[in-house]
Amino acid sequence: MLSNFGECEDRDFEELIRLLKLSRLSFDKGELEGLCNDIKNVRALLLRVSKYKDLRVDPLYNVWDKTLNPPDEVAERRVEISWLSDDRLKNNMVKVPWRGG
Amino acid sequence: MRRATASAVLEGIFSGSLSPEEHVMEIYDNIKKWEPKVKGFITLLDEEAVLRRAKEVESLLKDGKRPPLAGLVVAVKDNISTKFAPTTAGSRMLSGYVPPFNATTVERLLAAGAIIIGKTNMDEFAMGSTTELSAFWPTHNPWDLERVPGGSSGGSAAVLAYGGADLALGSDTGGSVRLPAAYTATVGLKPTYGLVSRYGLIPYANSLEQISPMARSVKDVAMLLDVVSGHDPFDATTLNAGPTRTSSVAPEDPSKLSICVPHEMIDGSDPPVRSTILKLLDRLEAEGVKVSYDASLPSAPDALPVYYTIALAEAASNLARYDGKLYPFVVLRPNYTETVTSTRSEGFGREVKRRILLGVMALSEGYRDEFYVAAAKGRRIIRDEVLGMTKKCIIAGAVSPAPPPRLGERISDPLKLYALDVYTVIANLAGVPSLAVPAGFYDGLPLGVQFMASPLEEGKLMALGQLVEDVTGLRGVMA
Repeated sequence: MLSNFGECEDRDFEELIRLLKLSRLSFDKGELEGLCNDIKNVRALLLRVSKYKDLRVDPLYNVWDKTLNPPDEVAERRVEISWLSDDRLKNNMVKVPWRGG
Repeated sequence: MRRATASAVLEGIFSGSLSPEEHVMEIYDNIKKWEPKVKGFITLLDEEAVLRRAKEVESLLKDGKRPPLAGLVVAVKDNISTKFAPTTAGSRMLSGYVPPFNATTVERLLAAGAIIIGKTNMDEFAMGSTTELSAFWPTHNPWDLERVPGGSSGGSAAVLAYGGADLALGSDTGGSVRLPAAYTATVGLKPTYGLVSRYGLIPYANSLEQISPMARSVKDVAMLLDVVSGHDPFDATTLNAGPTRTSSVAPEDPSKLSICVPHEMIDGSDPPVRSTILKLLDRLEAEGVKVSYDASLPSAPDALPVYYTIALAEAASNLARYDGKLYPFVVLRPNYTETVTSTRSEGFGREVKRRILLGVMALSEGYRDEFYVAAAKGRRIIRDEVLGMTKKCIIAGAVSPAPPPRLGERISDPLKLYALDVYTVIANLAGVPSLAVPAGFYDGLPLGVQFMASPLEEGKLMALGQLVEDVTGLRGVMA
């Protein structure tokens, strides 16, 4: 028994902890019960899409398909160090704060 | 003085009866009167810089040039990059971030002689339908300050509704310009996917969102669309098409317009919403428009879960970039993992974090087929139903199931909040254009109607929208 989280059962809470770790997020302890219930409720709404899971249709990941013209090529794209302000740079290189930069 | 439409302002500027500088001063008068109550802007640009810009436009006019938006004042949603003003996307995570480049739409506005006055409030990262989920403050609806202006482009809509700008840019991922338009008696168009460049738009859900024009009349929206639309080599998802010419579309003979009203696009709406839309459709029918109620989009009731599954999955992926390395906001901790977790936990608001968690779930091992892939299959079915119908007629329906909610009424329960998008997400899933125009008022509150057409049929929507304005008399109304 992990704890009593309102309508959330232990497995819902374990799932929440797994998602928090994957997402690199944390919440205050006091918010976890509400969050667990919210996630459970929204998950139930989203689960309505599972009825399409076994249908023999191609997933549509974007609306290009054959309906609209295929997109053109992207122009060359570069990021220049000169775009950054001085406080983000050290010795003409990007500072990385947790490496002491 | 408040001027009803941008077209009227432009006429004054081109005729010489109004100078851009005088017009900017008029706009500032409105802002000073309304902004403390409405709070539509996150950043108002320095008044002197704006007046300098007005003088620049004035000298262009003196040189005989006629840029299409000369001297018009434009408000820009705060998720559209501007190198001359902070771009926060309504989030603490981006506080202090000034992009090193302008979005393509911003560059096009400036080239067209527009005067950008400020960046407007929004739900954090465009995740919300009321503009209460901004990290800064909620925006109030100028028609009733106790109510929300809709979201997520609620700042842009509220500013238009009180006369703080002539035109505005929003972004629409699942109804984010159409809901605010409906709640504030303004006009919003979600263009065909790929018609307007997303380069410089802080991303939420790439396959669904479009930068979208907003104004107080259909003609003004058309004018703005003509400037910002067209292929952009910096955005691989823009169409191989030039800018639209919708502002010069001639009024359509009503008898050539055909509207279908699928019951799914109006079922479940509150009685005042339903009766206002049905009354409007009766009046359009009396003008000669063919209106059919014998229509159905059978998969539309699944649009909301399909939309949210896809949107949240894309959001989780997009928001992974906020780790304290690329943007100014960082919470330093002794090691890398703790720094990333603390930065994300303190930089994002509660709703954004909730959506990231659900998006990660939809994409994670063991769930992907059941959620994300299944939703993408559902999207194809919904898209095919919509395209099948728009080949025959323009689809009409409600924008929101209810009049503008009171502040605090919806945000405590995510399901109640998401339900506001039930009629608008369909156009984003299908990639088709959708126009929201004022349909009438109930108890002093604005109500809107939505029309969807086939891809690239924005001109047809503009023609119908102008007819709706003629019938309702609600062109250029202000709070």
